[in-house]
Amino acid sequence: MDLALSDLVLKGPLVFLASFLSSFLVMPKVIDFSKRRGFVGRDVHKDGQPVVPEMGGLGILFGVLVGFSAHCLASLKIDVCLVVFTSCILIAGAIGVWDYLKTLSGVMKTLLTVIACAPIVIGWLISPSEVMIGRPELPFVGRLRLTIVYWALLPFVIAVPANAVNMIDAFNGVMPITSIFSVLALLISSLILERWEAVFMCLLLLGALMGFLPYNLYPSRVFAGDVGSLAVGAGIGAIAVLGRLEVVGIVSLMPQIMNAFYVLASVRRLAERKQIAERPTVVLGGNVIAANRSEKAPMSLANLILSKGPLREPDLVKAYAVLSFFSFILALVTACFMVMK
Amino acid sequence: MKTLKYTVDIIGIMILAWGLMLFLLIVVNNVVVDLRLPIEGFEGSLINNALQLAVGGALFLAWLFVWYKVTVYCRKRRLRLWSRGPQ
Repeated sequence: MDLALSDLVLKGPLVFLASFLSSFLVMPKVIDFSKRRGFVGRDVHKDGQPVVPEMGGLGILFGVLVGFSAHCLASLKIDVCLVVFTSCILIAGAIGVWDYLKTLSGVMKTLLTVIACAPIVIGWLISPSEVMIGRPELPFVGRLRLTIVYWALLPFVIAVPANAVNMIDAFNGVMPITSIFSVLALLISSLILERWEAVFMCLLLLGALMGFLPYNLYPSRVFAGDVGSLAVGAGIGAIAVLGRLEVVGIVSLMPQIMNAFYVLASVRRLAERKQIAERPTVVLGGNVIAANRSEKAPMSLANLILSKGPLREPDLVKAYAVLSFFSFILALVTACFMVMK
Repeated sequence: MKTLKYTVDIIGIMILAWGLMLFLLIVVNNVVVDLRLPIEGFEGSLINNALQLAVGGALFLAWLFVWYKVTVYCRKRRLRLWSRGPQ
């Protein structure tokens, strides 16, 4: 058996279980902590707008950290790619905490998430043989050698997915469900394309997200908050770059990118949720949500789904899951096209 | 089934955006990358890179424009059908 594959068979389940169990088991503590500190928000899509703890993302960060430590202990060495990946997630999570405490403007938050790509640059400077950037692989075309253009685009590789995942996190369970499909697509693609370094990153993030999911499903006991959504988006961006799966990453994030694109194109600026006067959706009561038909309402993926008619929140989340499943399939087809170069 | 009914046109938009993206990647690789002006030296390299970036950027913007217009049309049609349907 190939050395990398046997390494994966031995350490993969350990890394996944470590991040899953730690994220799942720590979540009740995170919920208590958030309640005690007053880190709570209102679930605006439910009758009576119940108060829900908002720092669930800390549990995701904890899961990733424990999974990373388990990998280091199992291999008795520190993998540079995994250090870079974990650092990107931690920096984005820290920006999320800062945003939660200080409420940054849309422009400031986007600019700050650019910083989260610093570990990739530092990793490349320290160990260019392990952190390979500037060599993206395209379907049918094969590997490109981009120098100036890739460096010009590098600030966006973390900022775009981080903010896109952040923007989709509006309904119970949507962020972890859509992200799980994206990470699964990257995981299977990295197996197809033999990008072993990306497999462990996917397992780390997948475990942490699956540990968080039961607490965030309808009716949510905890929200991921900016700390969770920015960190997960940054993690997906880092996997795409470090695993040279940029195009697969874009396709796997299609629902998130569609949502962000529609909001930006209709609002025509980077704005924080509270700065937008009209919401894309309206709550009709009985947990039923409808599209806001006002001309001033921004277009979003939820608004587009609900333009067919109102839905209960769990059904709306199912619609997001169906879209994510299709983007998962398209991402796998894209990965297969990359093999057929 | 109900969920699929709500998402089928959006899946169509997704497939259209994906297909166009792959087509544009092929166009960029086969056409845009070969675009060169007959200028030698460092300036020539800079101008040729800028030209390729500008054409690639224009194609990218055209892709976004088509995607957005199709979505706006689809949303208007869905809202019209919803308004006509049983309340």
